[in-house]
Amino acid sequence: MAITKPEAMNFSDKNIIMIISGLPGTGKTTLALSAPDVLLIDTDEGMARVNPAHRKDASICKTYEEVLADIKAAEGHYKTIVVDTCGALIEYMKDWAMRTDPKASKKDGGFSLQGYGIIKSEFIRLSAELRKKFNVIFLFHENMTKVDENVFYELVVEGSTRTLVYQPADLAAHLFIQTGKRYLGFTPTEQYSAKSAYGIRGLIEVPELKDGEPNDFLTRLFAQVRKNLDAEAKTLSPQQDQYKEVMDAVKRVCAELTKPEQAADTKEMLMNLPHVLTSEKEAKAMFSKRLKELNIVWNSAAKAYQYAE
Amino acid sequence: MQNKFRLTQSLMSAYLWTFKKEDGYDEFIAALNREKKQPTVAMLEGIRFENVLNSVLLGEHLPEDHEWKFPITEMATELWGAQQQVTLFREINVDGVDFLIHGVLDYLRAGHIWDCKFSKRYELNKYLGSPQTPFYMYLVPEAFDMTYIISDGKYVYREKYPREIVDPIEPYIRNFMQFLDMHNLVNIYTEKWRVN
Repeated sequence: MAITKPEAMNFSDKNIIMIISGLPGTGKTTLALSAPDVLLIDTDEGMARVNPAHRKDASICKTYEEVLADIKAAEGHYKTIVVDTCGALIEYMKDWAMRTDPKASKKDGGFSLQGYGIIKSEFIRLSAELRKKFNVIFLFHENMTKVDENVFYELVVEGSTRTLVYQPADLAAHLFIQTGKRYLGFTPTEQYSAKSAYGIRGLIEVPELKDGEPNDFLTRLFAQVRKNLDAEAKTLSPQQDQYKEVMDAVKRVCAELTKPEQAADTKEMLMNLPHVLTSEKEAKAMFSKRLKELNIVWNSAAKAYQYAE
Repeated sequence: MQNKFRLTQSLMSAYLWTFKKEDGYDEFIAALNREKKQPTVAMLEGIRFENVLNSVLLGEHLPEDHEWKFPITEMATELWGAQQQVTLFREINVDGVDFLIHGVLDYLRAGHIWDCKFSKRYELNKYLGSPQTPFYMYLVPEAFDMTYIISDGKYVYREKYPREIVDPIEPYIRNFMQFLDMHNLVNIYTEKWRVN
């Protein structure tokens, strides 16, 4: 095991997994291509709709095995893998599961419940594998559903996998156009799902890409994520060190409590520690737990700790 | 001394369900009257899941073929070292009324709150808008975030709410009091939830 002190942590190489979802025509593919050194896994012919000036290398595959082979070949040559779209990739996974695992097929030829289990596990495995080597951007089309007056934007992906695809993602944003401007929404609302982290939250405007300008919006966003992570680690580092010291002291003081006569002093000692973060509340909880273990209670009439009767 | 009234996120949730569920109002009245609710099968399953998780956090080993081996192991790794079942109280005055907010956090560690959920049919953002988030964040003003760590028995899902996106609790309390007033329920609340 390699233990790293917070002050020695370096997030400059941290790979980021991000979901971008939006209605067709909002510019998801072009935006995804603004990430650093992209290879696009084009399962949806998305590259054809991109302005030629902004096109990047693409892998055009027909099976899941081909996708895996191209990803393997991309190691060391690209920094970001864009899956366009992830909904189509999951369809490839279904086909792969049915061809390679008999449990994935029902007798009538349909896709079985176990099959969904197989692709869920495969999606988690693939995400974890990809993160080791690349930033990953999963693109999803969205459907707009209307219930009464309320509009909800939902990922176009097999129902049971919808909840799962968000899990490995660090960030998830809904891309939309409002009054002629494009925005990424990182904070979940009643209208769309999203995921904010590392200080990236709320609405961020995606500037219009003018001729001759570099397409580097996500490259800058990822750099900001790493900068925020570094800044957060540096700010929290002294607090985390102090927290660890205080909690070690809390454990020691609580373990030394064995009799009701010691309880008041123990409590005072615990409260006088140089608390930080949530250590004071945790110390109180640990003290209460210790009293319970020892069958000690507070007698308010006698104003003293004593064994419960 | 001015009267003070206890308020929990469960009572607040019961109140909010009156707008979403057909029999929500009756269930809220039962909660307001502090009637003990018979646990459903789903609730019992959730309790069993949490008990297994807590026993693993206390050092128990799960057999390889345990039905929840995968999600429990993943959750226990994340929650290792956290204090379990942390009971907290904090006062608040809203429009001249004193309330005592009361809650029991599932897990607390180093500025982070977790709430464990067992949900056979988990839907994305299920806990978005849950009053539990602002209430627990109010109880722990020094917390950075609150994470719902959810399992359907096979997989683990997370919904993390950083403090910056969590609403304050005052509007919830204000709306709740207006609702009680409109439905002539203030007397029941003040009688059943007064802090002695």
